Amino acid sequence: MINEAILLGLTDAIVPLNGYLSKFSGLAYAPWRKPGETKISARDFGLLEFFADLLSASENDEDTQLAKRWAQLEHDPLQELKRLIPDAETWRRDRLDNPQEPNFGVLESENFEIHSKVPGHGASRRTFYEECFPILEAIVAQEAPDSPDQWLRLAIKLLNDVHKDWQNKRFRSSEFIQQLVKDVLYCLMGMKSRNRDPSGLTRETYASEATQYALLKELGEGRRVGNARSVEDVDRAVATLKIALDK
Amino acid sequence: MKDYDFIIVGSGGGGGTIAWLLAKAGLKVALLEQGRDIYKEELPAAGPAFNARVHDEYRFRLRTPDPKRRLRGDYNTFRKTDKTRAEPFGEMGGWTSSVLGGGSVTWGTWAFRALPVDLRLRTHFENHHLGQSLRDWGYAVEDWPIGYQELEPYYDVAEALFAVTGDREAMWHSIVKSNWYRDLGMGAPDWRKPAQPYPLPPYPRTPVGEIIFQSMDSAKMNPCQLPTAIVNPGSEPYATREKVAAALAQWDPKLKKGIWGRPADELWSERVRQACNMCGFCGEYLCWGKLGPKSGTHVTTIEEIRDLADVRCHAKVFEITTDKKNTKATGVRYLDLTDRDKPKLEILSAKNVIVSCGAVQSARLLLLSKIGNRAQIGRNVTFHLFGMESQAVFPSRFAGLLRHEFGHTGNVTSFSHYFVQDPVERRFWYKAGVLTSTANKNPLEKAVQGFRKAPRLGEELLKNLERHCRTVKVRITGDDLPMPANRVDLDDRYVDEYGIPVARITRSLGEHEKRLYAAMEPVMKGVFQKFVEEGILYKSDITASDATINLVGDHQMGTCRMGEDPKNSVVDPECRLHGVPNVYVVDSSFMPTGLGLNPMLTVVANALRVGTHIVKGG
Repeated sequence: MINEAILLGLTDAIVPLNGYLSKFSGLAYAPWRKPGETKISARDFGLLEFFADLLSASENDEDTQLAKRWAQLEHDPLQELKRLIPDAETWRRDRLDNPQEPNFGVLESENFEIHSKVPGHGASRRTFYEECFPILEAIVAQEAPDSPDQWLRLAIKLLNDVHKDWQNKRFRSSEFIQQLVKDVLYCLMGMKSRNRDPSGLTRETYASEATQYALLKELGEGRRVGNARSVEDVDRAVATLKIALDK
Repeated sequence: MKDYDFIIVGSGGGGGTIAWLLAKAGLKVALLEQGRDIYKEELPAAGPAFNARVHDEYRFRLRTPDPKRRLRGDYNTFRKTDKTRAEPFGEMGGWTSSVLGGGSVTWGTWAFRALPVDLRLRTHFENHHLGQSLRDWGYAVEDWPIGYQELEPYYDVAEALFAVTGDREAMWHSIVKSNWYRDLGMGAPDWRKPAQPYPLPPYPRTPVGEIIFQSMDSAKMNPCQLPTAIVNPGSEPYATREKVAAALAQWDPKLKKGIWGRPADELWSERVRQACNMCGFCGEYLCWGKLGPKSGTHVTTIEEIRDLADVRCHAKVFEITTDKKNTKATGVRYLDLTDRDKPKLEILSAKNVIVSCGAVQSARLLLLSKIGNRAQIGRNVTFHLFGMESQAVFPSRFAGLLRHEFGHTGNVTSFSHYFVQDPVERRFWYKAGVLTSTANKNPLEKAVQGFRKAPRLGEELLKNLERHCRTVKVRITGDDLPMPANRVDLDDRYVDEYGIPVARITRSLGEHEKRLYAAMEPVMKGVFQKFVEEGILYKSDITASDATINLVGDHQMGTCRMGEDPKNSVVDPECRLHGVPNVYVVDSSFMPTGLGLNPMLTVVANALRVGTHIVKGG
C-alpha cells in the first residue's frame, strides 16, 4: 500500500538523523555508526516493517467498524438509548434544563484514533493512510523531490496546508503529516512492545539490537521497553550527576 | 427484597476502599465499574512477576480511545463561562479513569495527608484579611464540617494499605520551618507530627530529585523526599497485614471497636506485594508488576474482597433509582457493556447506594438520577492548577545524566510555599500548594505534544527532543479555590455513545489564581537560582508557565461538597446526600475545598471514615 521510497524519503527529511548527528551528537562512539560517520536512516530502525505491522494490526479493523458506528450515531444520536429504554427522548428531556437537538461529539472530542478537523470524519490508521498516500504519491510523481531539502520543503508545505494539489475533503495534509510524525517517532523511539508472549520478556524488534534505541541514546533518553533498575543504579547515576554539577 | 446492602458505583480510591470495609464487615456488596479489569487482561495469571507488555507508550498513553482513561464513545464538554456554548472537550478534557481501580490505577502515587488548615480554609482566610475579598471575587470557600483529627487515624491505615514511603521527620521539618507556618500562626493543637514513621523508608533520590533537592536546599525551602505509594525498590515483599496492625496499634483504644477491634488476620490476608523495579512506566500507566508495587485499590482492597463482594466490570451506571417520593434510593440501572456494540440494560436493587465515579462523573450520575440538591450538585468543582510550573534546560554536557526514566514522576517536594505572600500587599497570603520535582516520563507523548504546539520538522524536531531530555521541571500542585460558577452539569446538546447526556464542565480561573501565579512565578524560577549563581544555567534557560485552564482530569474535587447546611452543600458530614440519606458520595467530590496536594490519600482515608460510620450505624 505504501510506496517505500516515498515513506523513507519523507521520513528522512522529517527526522534527519544524518544531518543532525553530524552536527550535534554528543556520543564519541556508537555501535550503529562508526566514528565520524553518521549514515543512519529510518530504514535501519525497521520503519518499513514497523508500518506494515502497524497497518495490519487488528485495531484497524476495530476502528474501521467503530468509524461506521460513529457515523450512524452522528445521524441518530439517540439510536442506542431508544433501543435500551422506553420513551428515551422523554427520559433525556426530563433531565435537562434547556434540551436541544441531540448531538454525538466523539470525533470533536478527539476520543478516536484518527479524528479529522474536518467535521464528522474519523478513520482507522489503515483507512487514513490508504486514502492519503495515493495523494502524496501523485504529488511526489509530479514534483520528484530528490534531495533531503526538497523533501523537507514538500513536508512543510503539507504541514501548513498550502499544497495546491492536496485536494481531500476528509483529511487535511497537515493531519497527514502530524499522524506520520507520531507514527514515525513511535518506531524510532522504540516504544512499541512486540512482546506477544504474555509470559516472557522476549522481545521481537524491527531493528538490530544495536540500532533499536539509537535515537533515544543519541538524545540522552534512558527509557526503554523492558527497563528494570536497582537502587545501586540510581545511586551511581546520582554520583555521576554530582560530579558534573561540581565541575 | 433487596439484592444488596450496598451498591458501590466506581472502584477507585473511594469506592474500592469502602467496598473492602463494608464487605469485611459482613455486608452484601456489589462493586460496579464501568471500565474493564485491564490489569487482569493485560497481565495474565501465568508468567513471571514482571511483564513488559504495558511498556508501549503509544498504546497506553497516546492511542484513543485511551484503554484506561476514557470509555469508548464518552467525553465531556467544556466552556469557560455559562455565557458561551460548550463544545466537546479534547483529549485533556476531564477524563475519568475507566478501569477496575479507577484513578488509583492511573494516579501519580504522590501520597500526602491534607494539612489541618486545608480543612479550615474559610476560617483561615477570615482571620487573615482575605475572607471578604474572596467573596467579592466570586469564591465560596468553606470549612470542612470535620476536623483533621477525625481523619487522622484513617490516614494511618490508608498509608499502611497504600505502602507509603517517606521521611516523616523531614516532611514535618519542611512544614513547620516554612515562613507561612510561622507568620500565619499555625501550630497546636491541630498541628502535630504523626506518631509513627511512614510504613516504608523514602523512595531513592533520583538525579532529577538530586538537582531539585540541592537547589531547594540552597534556597532554604526545606525539601524532603516525596511520600510515594509504591513498595520501595530493593525492599522485602510488603506485608500489608503487618503494616495495618502496626497502624492500628497507634490508635486510641476507644476507636478500636467493631471491625477495627478485630485481629489483623481477619482484616487482611497473607498476600504480599513485590518491590518496584523502577521501570519508569508508572507515570499515568499501569504498573507492570504483577504483585502490585504501585498502590491502588485494584491491588489492595479489591483484591482482598474478590470472594466476598460481587465485583462487576463493564457496568456503566446511568441512573440511581428511587422511591416515588424521590427521597430514598432503591438501586441502580446500568448498561452491561460486555458487548459494547450491544449493551444490555440491567437493574439492581439495594438498601443503599454509594457513588464514587470521580467528581465529574459523580455529579453527572446524580443529576441524571434527579436526586439530591440539584442547585448545588456539580458546583464548586476544582481541578488544581496543572501547568503552573517552572523548568530549566540544562546545558548539553548534561545530556544523558538526568535519567528521567528512574521510577515514578515525582521525587523531591517542599511545603515552603504552601501559602505564598503577595509581594506588594504583604498582609495577603494566597493558597498555593506543594512544589515537587517532576521528571519527564513520556518521551513519545512529549515529542508529539511539542510538535503540536510548535510544529517543526527536520533538525528542529530533533533539537526539541534532545532539549526535553535535559529539562528539569518543578510543578506546584496549586489549589484553585472553589467558585459556584465553576461547575459540572448536564450538557443540553451532546450525548455519549448510548444517548446519555454528557457532563458539561464550566471553568474559569479567578482573581486568587491570577494573584497566586504572579506571586509564584519568581518563586518557581528561583528554585533554580543556585545553578545560575554557579554558572551552570543562564537566567534565560529558566521559564515558568501559568495554569492551563482546560487541563482537567487528574485531580477532580468538589462537585458534591460536604457540609451541615443543605443550602450550600450536597452531602452531610458522613457523606450522605442531603434529602436522600441512603445515597453516599465518597470520591473526591465531597471535598468543600481542594487541597494544595494530591487528594488520593485523603479520599482513601475519608472512605475508611465513612465506612466506619456506616458499620457502626448498621
